[in-house]
Amino acid sequence: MLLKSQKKSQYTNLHSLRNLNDKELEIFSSHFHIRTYAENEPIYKINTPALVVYILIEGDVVLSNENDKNISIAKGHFFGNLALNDQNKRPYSATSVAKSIVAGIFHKDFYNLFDKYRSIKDKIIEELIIIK
Amino acid sequence: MATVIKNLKWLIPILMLIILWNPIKPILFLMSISLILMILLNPLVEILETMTKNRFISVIVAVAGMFFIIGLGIKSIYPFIYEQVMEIKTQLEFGDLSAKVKSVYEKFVPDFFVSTLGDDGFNSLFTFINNVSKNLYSMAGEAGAIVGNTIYSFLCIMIFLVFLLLDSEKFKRSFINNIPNRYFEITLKIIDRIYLQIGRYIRGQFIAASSVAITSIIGLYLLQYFTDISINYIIIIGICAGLFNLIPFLGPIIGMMIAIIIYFTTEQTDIGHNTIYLFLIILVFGIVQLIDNIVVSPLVLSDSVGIHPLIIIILAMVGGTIAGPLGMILSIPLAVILKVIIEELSWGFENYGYY
Repeated sequence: MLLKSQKKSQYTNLHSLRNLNDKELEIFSSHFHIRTYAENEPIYKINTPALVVYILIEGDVVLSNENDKNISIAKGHFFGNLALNDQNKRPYSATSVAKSIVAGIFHKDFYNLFDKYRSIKDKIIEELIIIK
Repeated sequence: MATVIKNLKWLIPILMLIILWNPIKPILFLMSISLILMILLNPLVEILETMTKNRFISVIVAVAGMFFIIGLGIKSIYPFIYEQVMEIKTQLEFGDLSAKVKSVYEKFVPDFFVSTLGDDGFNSLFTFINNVSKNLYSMAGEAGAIVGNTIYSFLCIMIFLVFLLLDSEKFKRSFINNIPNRYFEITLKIIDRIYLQIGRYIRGQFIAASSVAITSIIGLYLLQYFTDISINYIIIIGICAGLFNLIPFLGPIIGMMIAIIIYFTTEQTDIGHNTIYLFLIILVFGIVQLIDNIVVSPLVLSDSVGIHPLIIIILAMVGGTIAGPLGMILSIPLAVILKVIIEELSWGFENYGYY
Protein backbone atom coordinates (compact mmCIF):
# COMPACT_ATOMS: atom_id res chain seq x y z
CA MET A 1 0.00 0.00 0.00
CA LEU A 2 1.38 3.37 -1.03
CA LEU A 3 1.94 6.00 1.66
CA LYS A 4 0.26 9.34 1.15
CA SER A 5 3.62 11.07 0.48
CA GLN A 6 4.57 8.38 -2.04
CA LYS A 7 1.16 8.72 -3.72
CA LYS A 8 1.53 12.47 -4.07
CA SER A 9 5.02 12.22 -5.58
CA GLN A 10 3.79 9.54 -8.02
CA TYR A 11 1.04 11.82 -9.24
CA THR A 12 3.52 14.67 -9.71
CA ASN A 13 5.61 12.42 -11.98
CA LEU A 14 2.67 11.41 -14.16
CA HIS A 15 3.30 12.69 -17.66
CA SER A 16 -0.28 13.82 -18.39
CA LEU A 17 -0.46 15.81 -15.16
CA ARG A 18 2.95 17.46 -15.43
CA ASN A 19 1.52 20.94 -16.03
CA LEU A 20 -0.67 20.97 -12.92
CA ASN A 21 0.55 22.81 -9.84
CA ASP A 22 0.36 21.20 -6.36
CA LYS A 23 -3.07 22.59 -5.56
CA GLU A 24 -4.53 21.58 -8.92
CA LEU A 25 -2.99 18.14 -8.60
CA GLU A 26 -4.54 17.74 -5.17
CA ILE A 27 -7.97 18.72 -6.53
CA PHE A 28 -7.65 16.50 -9.59
CA SER A 29 -6.36 13.45 -7.70
CA SER A 30 -9.14 13.76 -5.11
CA HIS A 31 -11.42 12.28 -7.79
CA PHE A 32 -9.18 9.28 -8.41
CA HIS A 33 -10.39 5.76 -7.71
CA ILE A 34 -7.16 3.80 -7.32
CA ARG A 35 -7.51 0.25 -8.65
CA THR A 36 -5.02 -2.58 -8.71
CA TYR A 37 -5.14 -5.12 -11.53
CA ALA A 38 -3.43 -8.49 -11.62
CA GLU A 39 -1.42 -9.81 -14.57
CA ASN A 40 -3.68 -10.42 -17.59
CA GLU A 41 -6.73 -8.98 -15.80
CA PRO A 42 -9.03 -6.98 -18.09
CA ILE A 43 -9.61 -3.35 -17.17
CA TYR A 44 -12.38 -2.94 -19.70
CA LYS A 45 -13.54 -4.85 -22.78
CA ILE A 46 -14.20 -3.82 -26.34
CA ASN A 47 -17.77 -2.63 -27.14
CA THR A 48 -18.61 -2.00 -23.48
CA PRO A 49 -19.90 1.47 -22.50
CA ALA A 50 -17.19 4.04 -21.83
CA LEU A 51 -17.87 5.44 -18.36
CA VAL A 52 -14.44 5.91 -16.79
CA VAL A 53 -11.21 7.58 -17.92
CA TYR A 54 -8.06 5.92 -16.63
CA ILE A 55 -4.50 7.00 -16.04
CA LEU A 56 -1.71 4.47 -15.66
CA ILE A 57 0.24 4.98 -12.46
CA GLU A 58 2.30 1.81 -12.28
CA GLY A 59 2.64 -1.32 -14.38
CA ASP A 60 1.85 -2.19 -17.96
CA VAL A 61 -1.41 -1.86 -19.88
CA VAL A 62 -2.09 -2.79 -23.49
CA LEU A 63 -5.05 -1.79 -25.67
CA SER A 64 -6.14 -4.31 -28.27
CA ASN A 65 -8.96 -4.58 -30.79
CA GLU A 66 -10.49 -7.32 -32.93
CA ASN A 67 -7.86 -6.81 -35.61
CA ASP A 68 -5.12 -7.68 -33.12
CA LYS A 69 -3.89 -4.11 -33.19
CA ASN A 70 -2.06 -3.51 -29.90
CA ILE A 71 -1.20 -0.17 -28.31
CA SER A 72 0.98 -0.07 -25.24
CA ILE A 73 0.10 2.65 -22.74
CA ALA A 74 3.02 4.54 -21.29
CA LYS A 75 3.15 5.20 -17.57
CA GLY A 76 1.42 8.46 -16.64
CA HIS A 77 -0.79 8.60 -19.73
CA PHE A 78 -4.56 8.64 -20.03
CA PHE A 79 -6.49 5.85 -21.69
CA GLY A 80 -10.20 5.20 -22.08
CA ASN A 81 -10.74 8.87 -22.95
CA LEU A 82 -13.80 8.05 -25.05
CA ALA A 83 -15.72 8.04 -21.75
CA LEU A 84 -15.75 11.81 -22.10
CA ASN A 85 -18.13 11.48 -25.04
CA ASP A 86 -21.48 10.19 -23.87
CA GLN A 87 -22.91 6.95 -25.19
CA ASN A 88 -19.65 5.74 -26.75
CA LYS A 89 -18.62 2.13 -26.79
CA ARG A 90 -15.01 1.19 -26.29
CA PRO A 91 -13.20 0.51 -29.58
CA TYR A 92 -10.43 -1.32 -27.71
CA SER A 93 -10.05 -3.68 -24.79
CA ALA A 94 -7.59 -2.64 -22.09
CA THR A 95 -5.71 -5.41 -20.31
CA SER A 96 -3.15 -5.24 -17.55
CA VAL A 97 -0.24 -7.35 -18.81
CA ALA A 98 1.63 -7.05 -15.53
CA LYS A 99 0.42 -6.11 -12.07
CA SER A 100 -0.77 -2.52 -12.57
CA ILE A 101 -2.09 0.38 -10.56
CA VAL A 102 -4.45 2.71 -12.38
CA ALA A 103 -6.52 5.70 -11.34
CA GLY A 104 -10.07 5.81 -12.70
CA ILE A 105 -12.09 9.01 -12.95
CA PHE A 106 -15.82 8.78 -13.56
CA HIS A 107 -16.77 10.77 -16.66
CA LYS A 108 -19.20 13.04 -14.78
CA ASP A 109 -16.49 13.91 -12.28
CA PHE A 110 -14.34 14.95 -15.23
CA TYR A 111 -17.08 17.23 -16.54
CA ASN A 112 -17.55 18.78 -13.10
CA LEU A 113 -13.83 19.37 -12.74
CA PHE A 114 -13.67 21.04 -16.13
CA ASP A 115 -16.68 23.20 -15.27
CA LYS A 116 -15.34 24.29 -11.90
CA TYR A 117 -11.62 24.58 -12.63
CA ARG A 118 -10.90 26.13 -15.99
CA SER A 119 -7.15 26.12 -15.32
CA ILE A 120 -7.13 22.33 -14.87
CA LYS A 121 -9.10 21.88 -18.06
CA ASP A 122 -6.73 24.07 -20.04
CA LYS A 123 -3.70 22.21 -18.73
CA ILE A 124 -4.78 18.64 -19.42
CA ILE A 125 -7.20 18.90 -22.34
CA GLU A 126 -4.45 18.30 -24.87
CA GLU A 127 -3.52 15.07 -23.15
CA LEU A 128 -7.07 13.85 -23.67
CA ILE A 129 -7.35 14.67 -27.35
CA ILE A 130 -5.66 11.44 -28.34
CA ILE A 131 -8.67 9.16 -28.43
CA LYS A 132 -8.04 5.73 -26.98
CA MET B 1 -12.07 -19.66 3.58
CA ALA B 2 -10.62 -16.67 1.74
CA THR B 3 -14.11 -15.73 0.53
CA VAL B 4 -15.46 -15.83 4.06
CA ILE B 5 -12.68 -13.63 5.39
CA LYS B 6 -13.10 -11.24 2.47
CA ASN B 7 -16.79 -10.86 3.22
CA LEU B 8 -16.29 -10.39 6.96
CA LYS B 9 -15.84 -6.68 6.43
CA TRP B 10 -19.47 -6.54 5.27
CA LEU B 11 -20.88 -9.13 7.63
CA ILE B 12 -19.47 -7.81 10.89
CA PRO B 13 -20.93 -4.29 10.59
CA ILE B 14 -24.31 -5.72 9.55
CA LEU B 15 -24.30 -8.12 12.51
CA MET B 16 -23.32 -5.33 14.90
CA LEU B 17 -26.16 -3.22 13.51
CA ILE B 18 -28.68 -6.00 14.15
CA ILE B 19 -27.41 -6.78 17.65
CA LEU B 20 -27.18 -3.15 18.73
CA TRP B 21 -30.30 -1.95 16.88
CA ASN B 22 -32.04 -0.36 19.88
CA PRO B 23 -29.20 1.89 21.02
CA ILE B 24 -28.21 2.65 17.42
CA LYS B 25 -31.76 3.53 16.25
CA PRO B 26 -31.82 7.12 17.65
CA ILE B 27 -28.37 7.79 16.20
CA LEU B 28 -29.46 6.47 12.80
CA PHE B 29 -32.51 8.72 13.00
CA LEU B 30 -30.29 11.76 13.64
CA MET B 31 -27.97 10.66 10.84
CA SER B 32 -30.86 10.28 8.39
CA ILE B 33 -31.90 13.88 9.17
CA SER B 34 -28.30 14.95 8.52
CA LEU B 35 -28.33 12.97 5.26
CA ILE B 36 -31.49 14.71 4.08
CA LEU B 37 -30.02 18.10 5.06
CA MET B 38 -26.84 17.16 3.20
CA ILE B 39 -28.81 16.40 0.04
CA LEU B 40 -30.65 19.71 0.39
CA LEU B 41 -27.52 21.75 1.10
CA ASN B 42 -25.03 20.09 -1.25
CA PRO B 43 -26.00 22.11 -4.37
CA LEU B 44 -25.44 25.33 -2.42
CA VAL B 45 -22.07 24.04 -1.18
CA GLU B 46 -21.09 23.15 -4.77
CA ILE B 47 -21.94 26.69 -5.92
CA LEU B 48 -19.98 28.23 -3.04
CA GLU B 49 -17.04 25.92 -3.77
CA THR B 50 -16.95 27.17 -7.36
CA MET B 51 -16.57 30.70 -5.98
CA THR B 52 -14.27 30.06 -3.02
CA LYS B 53 -12.33 27.07 -4.46
CA ASN B 54 -12.31 25.69 -0.91
CA ARG B 55 -14.71 22.96 0.20
CA PHE B 56 -14.20 23.53 3.92
CA ILE B 57 -15.07 27.24 3.80
CA SER B 58 -18.06 26.54 1.55
CA VAL B 59 -19.42 23.93 3.97
CA ILE B 60 -18.98 26.18 7.01
CA VAL B 61 -20.71 29.12 5.28
CA ALA B 62 -23.63 26.96 4.11
CA VAL B 63 -24.13 25.26 7.50
CA ALA B 64 -23.79 28.55 9.38
CA GLY B 65 -26.37 30.12 7.07
CA MET B 66 -28.77 27.25 7.63
CA PHE B 67 -28.14 27.38 11.38
CA PHE B 68 -28.95 31.10 11.39
CA ILE B 69 -32.20 30.65 9.44
CA ILE B 70 -33.33 27.71 11.61
CA GLY B 71 -32.45 29.64 14.76
CA LEU B 72 -34.44 32.61 13.57
CA GLY B 73 -37.39 30.39 12.70
CA ILE B 74 -37.31 28.57 16.03
CA LYS B 75 -37.12 31.80 17.99
CA SER B 76 -40.03 33.42 16.17
CA ILE B 77 -42.38 30.55 15.30
CA TYR B 78 -41.75 27.63 17.66
CA PRO B 79 -43.36 29.06 20.84
CA PHE B 80 -46.48 29.98 18.86
CA ILE B 81 -46.77 26.56 17.23
CA TYR B 82 -46.05 24.76 20.51
CA GLU B 83 -48.85 26.70 22.24
CA GLN B 84 -51.33 25.85 19.47
CA VAL B 85 -50.36 22.16 19.47
CA MET B 86 -50.93 22.00 23.23
CA GLU B 87 -54.33 23.69 22.81
CA ILE B 88 -55.39 21.22 20.13
CA LYS B 89 -54.15 18.32 22.27
CA THR B 90 -56.22 19.51 25.20
CA GLN B 91 -59.31 19.89 23.03
CA LEU B 92 -58.91 16.41 21.61
CA GLU B 93 -58.93 14.73 25.05
CA PHE B 94 -61.03 11.61 25.11
CA GLY B 95 -64.27 12.76 26.69
CA ASP B 96 -64.68 15.91 24.60
CA LEU B 97 -63.57 14.13 21.42
CA SER B 98 -66.29 11.51 21.72
CA ALA B 99 -69.05 14.13 22.16
CA LYS B 100 -67.70 16.32 19.36
CA VAL B 101 -67.32 13.47 16.87
CA LYS B 102 -70.88 12.32 17.72
CA SER B 103 -72.18 15.81 17.02
CA VAL B 104 -70.38 15.94 13.63
CA TYR B 105 -71.48 12.38 12.80
CA GLU B 106 -75.16 13.10 13.42
CA LYS B 107 -74.94 16.43 11.59
CA PHE B 108 -73.27 15.32 8.38
CA VAL B 109 -74.04 11.65 7.91
CA PRO B 110 -77.50 11.20 6.30
CA ASP B 111 -80.21 10.01 8.75
CA PHE B 112 -80.71 6.81 6.80
CA PHE B 113 -77.11 5.73 7.36
CA VAL B 114 -77.14 6.85 10.99
CA SER B 115 -80.13 4.66 11.75
CA THR B 116 -78.89 1.73 9.64
CA LEU B 117 -75.32 1.71 10.93
CA GLY B 118 -76.33 2.58 14.48
CA ASP B 119 -73.63 2.69 17.13
CA ASP B 120 -71.28 0.52 15.04
CA GLY B 121 -70.98 3.21 12.40
CA PHE B 122 -70.23 5.87 14.97
CA ASN B 123 -67.78 3.64 16.87
CA SER B 124 -65.84 2.88 13.66
CA LEU B 125 -65.55 6.59 12.85
CA PHE B 126 -64.57 7.50 16.38
CA THR B 127 -61.95 4.72 16.59
CA PHE B 128 -60.43 5.86 13.31
CA ILE B 129 -60.21 9.51 14.41
CA ASN B 130 -58.90 8.57 17.85
CA ASN B 131 -56.22 6.34 16.33
CA VAL B 132 -55.17 9.03 13.86
CA SER B 133 -54.74 11.63 16.60
CA LYS B 134 -52.93 9.14 18.87
CA ASN B 135 -50.58 8.11 16.05
CA LEU B 136 -49.85 11.73 15.23
CA TYR B 137 -48.95 12.55 18.82
CA SER B 138 -46.98 9.34 19.21
CA MET B 139 -44.97 10.07 16.07
CA ALA B 140 -44.48 13.72 16.97
CA GLY B 141 -43.54 12.77 20.50
CA GLU B 142 -40.98 10.19 19.44
CA ALA B 143 -39.43 12.51 16.88
CA GLY B 144 -39.55 15.37 19.33
CA ALA B 145 -37.90 13.29 22.04
CA ILE B 146 -35.06 12.38 19.76
CA VAL B 147 -34.63 15.66 17.95
CA GLY B 148 -36.55 18.59 19.25
CA ASN B 149 -35.47 19.80 22.64
CA THR B 150 -31.94 18.65 23.35
CA ILE B 151 -28.83 20.53 22.47
CA TYR B 152 -27.05 17.17 22.25
CA SER B 153 -29.30 16.00 19.37
CA PHE B 154 -28.96 19.30 17.55
CA LEU B 155 -25.16 19.23 17.90
CA CYS B 156 -25.08 15.64 16.64
CA ILE B 157 -27.06 16.61 13.55
CA MET B 158 -24.77 19.56 12.85
CA ILE B 159 -21.60 17.49 13.32
CA PHE B 160 -22.88 14.65 11.11
CA LEU B 161 -23.96 17.22 8.53
CA VAL B 162 -20.57 18.95 8.40
CA PHE B 163 -18.72 15.65 8.02
CA LEU B 164 -21.15 14.37 5.39
CA LEU B 165 -20.77 17.58 3.38
CA LEU B 166 -16.98 17.59 3.74
CA ASP B 167 -16.26 13.90 3.32
CA SER B 168 -19.13 12.29 1.45
CA GLU B 169 -16.76 11.74 -1.47
CA LYS B 170 -14.29 9.95 0.80
CA PHE B 171 -17.02 7.70 2.20
CA LYS B 172 -18.15 6.94 -1.34
CA ARG B 173 -14.58 6.17 -2.38
CA SER B 174 -14.04 3.87 0.62
CA PHE B 175 -17.13 1.91 -0.35
CA ILE B 176 -16.06 1.67 -4.00
CA ASN B 177 -12.55 0.53 -3.00
CA ASN B 178 -14.13 -2.67 -1.72
CA ILE B 179 -15.96 -3.42 -4.98
CA PRO B 180 -14.25 -5.96 -7.26
CA ASN B 181 -12.66 -4.53 -10.43
CA ARG B 182 -15.18 -6.31 -12.61
CA TYR B 183 -18.06 -4.26 -11.15
CA PHE B 184 -16.13 -1.02 -10.67
CA GLU B 185 -17.57 0.99 -13.56
CA ILE B 186 -21.18 -0.15 -13.10
CA THR B 187 -20.99 0.65 -9.36
CA LEU B 188 -19.92 4.21 -10.14
CA LYS B 189 -22.87 4.54 -12.50
CA ILE B 190 -25.33 3.13 -9.93
CA ILE B 191 -24.13 5.45 -7.17
CA ASP B 192 -24.25 8.45 -9.48
CA ARG B 193 -27.81 7.69 -10.60
CA ILE B 194 -29.04 7.00 -7.07
CA TYR B 195 -27.58 10.26 -5.82
CA LEU B 196 -29.08 12.17 -8.75
CA GLN B 197 -32.58 10.71 -8.46
CA ILE B 198 -32.81 10.74 -4.68
CA GLY B 199 -31.37 14.24 -4.54
CA ARG B 200 -33.87 15.49 -7.08
CA TYR B 201 -36.73 13.70 -5.31
CA ILE B 202 -35.90 14.99 -1.81
CA ARG B 203 -35.30 18.56 -2.95
CA GLY B 204 -38.47 18.50 -5.02
CA GLN B 205 -40.55 17.05 -2.19
CA PHE B 206 -39.20 19.66 0.23
CA ILE B 207 -40.16 22.48 -2.12
CA ALA B 208 -43.57 20.93 -2.91
CA ALA B 209 -44.35 20.35 0.80
CA SER B 210 -43.40 23.94 1.64
CA SER B 211 -45.53 25.22 -1.22
CA VAL B 212 -48.55 23.14 -0.11
CA ALA B 213 -48.16 24.39 3.48
CA ILE B 214 -47.95 28.02 2.39
CA THR B 215 -50.82 27.83 -0.14
CA SER B 216 -53.00 25.97 2.39
CA ILE B 217 -52.42 28.68 4.98
CA ILE B 218 -53.12 31.43 2.45
CA GLY B 219 -56.20 29.60 1.13
CA LEU B 220 -57.68 29.11 4.60
CA TYR B 221 -56.97 32.71 5.57
CA LEU B 222 -58.71 33.91 2.40
CA LEU B 223 -61.64 31.59 3.10
CA GLN B 224 -61.86 33.04 6.57
CA TYR B 225 -61.63 36.59 5.21
CA PHE B 226 -64.36 36.23 2.59
CA THR B 227 -66.83 34.09 4.57
CA ASP B 228 -68.14 33.85 8.14
CA ILE B 229 -66.08 30.79 8.80
CA SER B 230 -63.78 30.87 11.79
CA ILE B 231 -60.87 28.51 11.42
CA ASN B 232 -58.52 28.26 14.36
CA TYR B 233 -55.04 26.78 14.12
CA ILE B 234 -54.59 27.61 10.43
CA ILE B 235 -50.80 27.51 10.80
CA ILE B 236 -50.88 24.01 12.32
CA ILE B 237 -53.33 22.84 9.64
CA GLY B 238 -51.07 24.24 6.91
CA ILE B 239 -47.97 22.60 8.39
CA CYS B 240 -49.78 19.24 8.65
CA ALA B 241 -50.98 19.57 5.04
CA GLY B 242 -47.40 20.27 3.92
CA LEU B 243 -45.91 17.40 5.92
CA PHE B 244 -48.50 14.87 4.79
CA ASN B 245 -48.02 15.98 1.19
CA LEU B 246 -44.75 14.05 1.41
CA ILE B 247 -46.78 10.84 1.27
CA PRO B 248 -47.59 10.21 -2.40
CA PHE B 249 -51.24 10.25 -3.45
CA LEU B 250 -52.64 9.40 -0.01
CA GLY B 251 -50.88 12.26 1.76
CA PRO B 252 -52.99 15.15 0.43
CA ILE B 253 -56.18 13.28 1.41
CA ILE B 254 -54.83 12.56 4.91
CA GLY B 255 -53.72 16.19 5.25
CA MET B 256 -57.18 17.42 4.30
CA MET B 257 -58.84 15.00 6.72
CA ILE B 258 -56.56 16.21 9.53
CA ALA B 259 -57.68 19.75 8.74
CA ILE B 260 -61.36 18.77 8.81
CA ILE B 261 -60.92 16.81 12.05
CA ILE B 262 -59.14 19.73 13.74
CA TYR B 263 -61.71 22.20 12.47
CA PHE B 264 -64.78 20.28 13.58
CA THR B 265 -63.50 18.83 16.84
CA THR B 266 -61.93 21.95 18.34
CA GLU B 267 -63.91 24.82 19.78
CA GLN B 268 -65.72 26.51 16.91
CA THR B 269 -68.52 28.95 16.60
CA ASP B 270 -71.95 27.61 15.83
CA ILE B 271 -71.55 24.35 13.97
CA GLY B 272 -75.16 24.49 12.86
CA HIS B 273 -74.84 26.07 9.44
CA ASN B 274 -71.38 24.75 8.57
CA THR B 275 -72.33 22.14 5.96
CA ILE B 276 -71.31 24.47 3.16
CA TYR B 277 -68.11 25.34 5.05
CA LEU B 278 -67.09 21.69 5.01
CA PHE B 279 -67.23 21.77 1.22
CA LEU B 280 -65.44 25.11 1.08
CA ILE B 281 -62.57 23.65 3.13
CA ILE B 282 -62.44 20.67 0.77
CA LEU B 283 -62.48 23.09 -2.16
CA VAL B 284 -59.56 25.06 -0.72
CA PHE B 285 -57.50 21.88 -0.40
CA GLY B 286 -58.56 20.84 -3.90
CA ILE B 287 -57.24 24.13 -5.28
CA VAL B 288 -54.02 23.73 -3.27
CA GLN B 289 -53.48 20.29 -4.82
CA LEU B 290 -54.29 21.64 -8.27
CA ILE B 291 -51.62 24.33 -7.89
CA ASP B 292 -49.18 21.73 -6.62
CA ASN B 293 -49.84 19.25 -9.44
CA ILE B 294 -50.01 21.74 -12.29
CA VAL B 295 -47.49 24.40 -11.29
CA VAL B 296 -45.11 23.33 -8.53
CA SER B 297 -44.48 19.61 -9.03
CA PRO B 298 -43.73 19.79 -12.76
CA LEU B 299 -41.27 22.60 -12.03
CA VAL B 300 -39.43 20.78 -9.28
CA LEU B 301 -39.76 17.29 -10.86
CA SER B 302 -40.78 15.97 -7.47
CA ASP B 303 -42.92 13.21 -8.94
CA SER B 304 -40.52 11.95 -11.59
CA VAL B 305 -39.50 8.70 -9.94
CA GLY B 306 -40.61 6.58 -12.89
CA ILE B 307 -42.85 4.28 -10.84
CA HIS B 308 -46.49 3.65 -11.70
CA PRO B 309 -48.89 5.51 -9.36
CA LEU B 310 -50.61 2.26 -8.32
CA ILE B 311 -47.27 0.78 -7.29
CA ILE B 312 -46.50 3.97 -5.35
CA ILE B 313 -49.77 3.69 -3.44
CA ILE B 314 -49.11 0.03 -2.61
CA LEU B 315 -45.56 0.83 -1.48
CA ALA B 316 -46.81 3.71 0.68
CA MET B 317 -49.38 1.40 2.31
CA VAL B 318 -46.77 -1.31 2.94
CA GLY B 319 -44.41 1.32 4.37
CA GLY B 320 -47.21 2.61 6.56
CA THR B 321 -47.93 -0.88 7.89
CA ILE B 322 -44.27 -1.42 8.77
CA ALA B 323 -43.34 1.96 10.20
CA GLY B 324 -46.37 4.26 10.29
CA PRO B 325 -46.35 7.69 8.59
CA LEU B 326 -42.53 7.73 8.52
CA GLY B 327 -42.61 4.43 6.67
CA MET B 328 -45.03 5.87 4.12
CA ILE B 329 -42.69 8.80 3.47
CA LEU B 330 -39.51 6.69 3.29
CA SER B 331 -41.01 3.89 1.20
CA ILE B 332 -40.75 5.85 -2.06
CA PRO B 333 -37.06 6.93 -1.82
CA LEU B 334 -36.17 3.36 -0.81
CA ALA B 335 -38.15 2.02 -3.78
CA VAL B 336 -36.34 4.47 -6.07
CA ILE B 337 -32.96 3.24 -4.81
CA LEU B 338 -33.98 -0.38 -5.37
CA LYS B 339 -35.36 0.41 -8.82
CA VAL B 340 -32.15 2.18 -9.86
CA ILE B 341 -30.00 -0.70 -8.61
CA ILE B 342 -32.08 -3.31 -10.48
CA GLU B 343 -32.19 -1.22 -13.68
CA GLU B 344 -28.48 -0.47 -13.71
CA LEU B 345 -27.49 -4.04 -12.86
CA SER B 346 -29.68 -5.29 -15.73
CA TRP B 347 -28.10 -2.71 -18.02
CA GLY B 348 -24.68 -3.71 -16.76
CA PHE B 349 -25.33 -7.39 -17.33
CA GLU B 350 -26.44 -6.62 -20.88
CA ASN B 351 -23.63 -4.23 -21.78
CA TYR B 352 -20.72 -5.60 -19.79
CA GLY B 353 -21.41 -9.26 -20.50
CA TYR B 354 -21.55 -10.34 -16.88
CA TYR B 355 -23.46 -13.50 -17.85
